[in-house]
Amino acid sequence: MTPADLLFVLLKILVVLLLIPVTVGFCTLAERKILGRIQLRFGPNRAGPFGLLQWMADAVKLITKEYLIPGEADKALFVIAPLLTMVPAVTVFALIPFGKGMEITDVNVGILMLVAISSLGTYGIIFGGWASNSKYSLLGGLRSAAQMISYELSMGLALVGVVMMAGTMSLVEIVESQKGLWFIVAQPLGFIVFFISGVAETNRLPFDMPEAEGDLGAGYHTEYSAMGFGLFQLGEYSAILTMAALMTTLFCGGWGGPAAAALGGAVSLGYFVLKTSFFVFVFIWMRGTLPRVRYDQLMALGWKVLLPLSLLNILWVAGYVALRG
Amino acid sequence: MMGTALFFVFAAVTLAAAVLVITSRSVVYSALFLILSFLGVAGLFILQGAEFLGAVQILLYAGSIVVMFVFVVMMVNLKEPLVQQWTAFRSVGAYLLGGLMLVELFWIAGRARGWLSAPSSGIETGEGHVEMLGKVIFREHILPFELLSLVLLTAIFGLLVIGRRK
Amino acid sequence: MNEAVVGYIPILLFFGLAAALGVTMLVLGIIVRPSSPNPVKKIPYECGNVPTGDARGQVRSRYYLFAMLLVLFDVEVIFLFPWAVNLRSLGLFGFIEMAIFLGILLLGYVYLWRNGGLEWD
Repeated sequence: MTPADLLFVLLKILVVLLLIPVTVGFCTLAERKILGRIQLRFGPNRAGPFGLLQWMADAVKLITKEYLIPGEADKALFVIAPLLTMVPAVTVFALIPFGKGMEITDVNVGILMLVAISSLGTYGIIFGGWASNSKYSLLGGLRSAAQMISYELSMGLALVGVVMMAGTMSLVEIVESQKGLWFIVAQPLGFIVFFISGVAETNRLPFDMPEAEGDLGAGYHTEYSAMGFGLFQLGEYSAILTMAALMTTLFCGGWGGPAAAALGGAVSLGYFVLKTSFFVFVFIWMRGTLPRVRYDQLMALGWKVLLPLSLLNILWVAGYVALRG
Repeated sequence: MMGTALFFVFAAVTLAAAVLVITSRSVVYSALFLILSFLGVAGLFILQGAEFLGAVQILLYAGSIVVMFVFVVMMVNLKEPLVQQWTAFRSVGAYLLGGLMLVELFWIAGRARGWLSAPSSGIETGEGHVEMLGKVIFREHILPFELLSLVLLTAIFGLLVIGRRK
Repeated sequence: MNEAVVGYIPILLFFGLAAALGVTMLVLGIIVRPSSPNPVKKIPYECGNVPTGDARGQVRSRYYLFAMLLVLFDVEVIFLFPWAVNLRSLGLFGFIEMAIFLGILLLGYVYLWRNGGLEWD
């Protein structure tokens, strides 16, 4: 790696890294707008035209508010915990192919690496909940961690189906192998398992027990204020973006689309953004319409329904690949 | 050059974190440093060209196993440090065992120079690390692989015994 | 360092820069935000009730058991990946090989289910 290469990579990283908070800001705005519409309200419409600058107002507010640390809290851990969630959630963007030739890096075990890094986000939540010394926080953190590890399994098994068909774990090559047929068509069962696990992994409704306001206050970040809360939010929404991007990349042809391979560049990026936005919209839509499930139902769904289903998917895809070659 | 520098960085992180694991007063902090130590090991693996092993190290060790430890820590909720229960006899035993392990590690490292470099040879032939690994496991070592499922099966039974309510 | 390893350097850089960004965001506020803690503000939030006892009580062992389950089945998933990459060249033989492996584990899974190992309550 020459210094020029290194500089170029550094530049790419900085662009993506600085775009993430802005994108997350717009995500929260979109969420509030769409939820507003679903509930027959306007949503935020005061800051800027149509409330488009609301995310900026939120950012300023998060920076200028008092950072409260509960009296009995473990101070060091309390401050580090939001970082433990935010950093892994953001780092996985290094592996996602945003367009033709538009990825920061591509490695042979890409998809496994991505899942591995994002699984580290659990610790911020569980340590944050523990450090707060609040009953709500601790319970929220524990629930969240148990939920995330339970759905990690079926998610991993759903990924096996994708790897089998693509014959590689590199995300760039997975996108390219879907030129003929999107994997969502070839293995709809795998996609359904991945989608449900993805929603559960990001602690979103209908699986948002970790922060169920009805019984846990605000869950693991009950005690967090100001930027600590901001970093948790950043990590959470980054995870949602990652999940949507993964659904696009692994099952819906990634940046592929009519004329994307020939024109490349902005066109392929456009397809990617379009598909990913759709999935982000579905995430928000579900929050507006679905009721929350009970915790034992959640665990039963993960271990008793999704696990056998994902094994069935593997059997189906393996038979197809092994026999057809 | 850069590889060597990175090696020393990862090695230092691994060792320093490992020392902090055993010297931390709070078990929760020990778990935190254990994650860091495992991540350092993952870095070392990847530096050797063992990408798959590196990813597994992060996913399985830093990801799942430490979560299990953290749940244990919270399940028992220790109020005072464990150190107080250490008798002189136990300390001597621990140092002895640790020293023995160190000797063993050095002995293996001295003898194993030949096979330690073997895994990266596949990369020169143009075949990826994972492809090669898969072929070795599923073509040459079929029996150990199938026996592994029996080991895991036993572990499942063990789990059920532990989890059985009185 | 070989070529494959170079691909990981951007991940490491990204990790470092992301951490730097997070720290900056935390530190940025120190300059502008107020700080006037008082004992009442520092009480953990419990919907208005005064908290009693230590929040870090013992938690139920089910969490631990499910974490152990995850470790067990994760090992199985890990082995599926190198197999999945090579399935095309391994062909029917590879398919049968994995079917036996998963079949044995499925036995354990069914046993676990039948004996209530997967129940949360």
